Amino acid sequence: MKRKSYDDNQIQKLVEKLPSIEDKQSKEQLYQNIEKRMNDSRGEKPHWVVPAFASIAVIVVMIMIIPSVWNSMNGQFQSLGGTEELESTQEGSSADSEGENQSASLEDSAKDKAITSEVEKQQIGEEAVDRMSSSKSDGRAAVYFDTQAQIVVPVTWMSGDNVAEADLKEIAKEKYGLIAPTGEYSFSPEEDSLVVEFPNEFRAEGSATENSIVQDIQWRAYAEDAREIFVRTQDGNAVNLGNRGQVTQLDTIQEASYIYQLFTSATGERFLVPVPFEGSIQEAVRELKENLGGTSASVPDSISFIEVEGQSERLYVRVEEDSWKSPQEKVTAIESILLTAKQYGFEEVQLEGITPTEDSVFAYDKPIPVPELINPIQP
Amino acid sequence: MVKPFFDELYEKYHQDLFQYIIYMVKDRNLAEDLVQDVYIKTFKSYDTFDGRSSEKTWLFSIARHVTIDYFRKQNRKRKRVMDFFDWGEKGEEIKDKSPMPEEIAVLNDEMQAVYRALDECTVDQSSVIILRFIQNMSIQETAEVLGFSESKVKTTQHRAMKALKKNLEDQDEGGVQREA
Repeated sequence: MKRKSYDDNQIQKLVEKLPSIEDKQSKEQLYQNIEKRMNDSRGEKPHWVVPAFASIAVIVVMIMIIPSVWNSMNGQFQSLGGTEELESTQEGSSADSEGENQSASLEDSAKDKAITSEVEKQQIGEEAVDRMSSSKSDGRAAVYFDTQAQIVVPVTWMSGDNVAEADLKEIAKEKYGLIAPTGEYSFSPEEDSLVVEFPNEFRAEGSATENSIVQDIQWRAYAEDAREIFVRTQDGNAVNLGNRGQVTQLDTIQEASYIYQLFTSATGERFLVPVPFEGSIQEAVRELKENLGGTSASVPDSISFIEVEGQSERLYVRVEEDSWKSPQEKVTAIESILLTAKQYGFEEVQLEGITPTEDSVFAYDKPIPVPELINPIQP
Repeated sequence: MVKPFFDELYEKYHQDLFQYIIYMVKDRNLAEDLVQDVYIKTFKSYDTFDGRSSEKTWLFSIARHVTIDYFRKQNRKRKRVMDFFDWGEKGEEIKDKSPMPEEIAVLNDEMQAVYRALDECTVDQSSVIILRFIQNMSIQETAEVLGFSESKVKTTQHRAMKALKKNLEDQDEGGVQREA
């Protein structure tokens, strides 16, 4: 017997014919239920009360304990220093009082240097993440992973055109703490698609390798704005991708399926990385404040989203800001919103409530176009 | 103070709102509870409504969030149960089955199949189908309710139609095999 088939028009007509299902509760009954629930909820203790009191209790205990622990540790250091002095005296050094003063001042200066260099390191760390995305399109897209191959980190090599792929991989590992997926394959961007060519004898070794290769290809295609991904061997045959079988085409990254959060690599570099997410743009933007597995919030808690609304190609985001710890924190938060908006198909973001309305990076009183590049890095 | 506002919303949108929710959750009692949540959230957040979108799309976007929150809670519950009993993949197949509303139960097999096929769509796909074809909303209104771009609505609609088509044809084939 022939299987019945449907076209889009028929399906639409069938759905339109679905009947109206009426609410059987009366208007008065509904209102009474709502009123009752609203009154009940007014009397309820807010959900945050218990955790808040618990947190305050922990802080109070810490305040009481830390000074005494600190004092006892200081005592240990002092007694250790005393022992060293004693040892040096026992060794028969004829240090006079002036010499002692010199050695004390040398010790102090060494400590100062250590502290200064630590502060400098932190400052350099902050400056290194200056812009995490860019509207310029002249870069070389690449995709790496954290050392556990769990987090995908799309980056853009700026001015890396003359550097060999293998060297970039090495630099990514040494300097940025990121690893490249295993496997040799080449990319050829075409007008609307990305073609990936594998060696004839290619076989993905294990599902982890296969997944990292697929993610590499998908995020490269996303960077190239490709609508289709074709994969083939040098002979033009389907590629053996382990559990996926013989494959000629891969899905592209779906719109509205990722948000961008902060990730710190093994070398302490910070990147904005895509994290899978299912939900509306309102939920996606609010999720930027959450610490998820392996990644951290890209928008600080001191910022509240009052309204997030998409209109055609523009996303409106109204915020209430309490304070930003640093200009870097602010830029990172804005960039994560822009990248998330881009993932949801928006072309620009109009922010409201950011003060001052302009800084060295953005003019917040005008719509900001979503970035073309992500995580620009230098070889 | 809330009553006149409730009256106005009820007269203008209640049946459509209920319709959207019941087609999403497919359970009358649950839909009655969720529609109450929608009104409560609406009353609490009316101050933030600035008229940039229409009152209708604003109300429906609240309804969407309420239903998504419900699905999330259900998923978390289901996951906890699955973890506890270690049902693995089979647990995913266990779905809540609610009796079909009588308005649907009296329809012919094909229409009942369409109603069932909506279950095979993702939450986003069902939302688009219900808003576009049952609520007769435009692409732009649907985009406002869902917080999508218009192109995202079109893509989701296309994928939803594909999912419905596949499911209807599968159901049809299943029916034929059973009859044979």
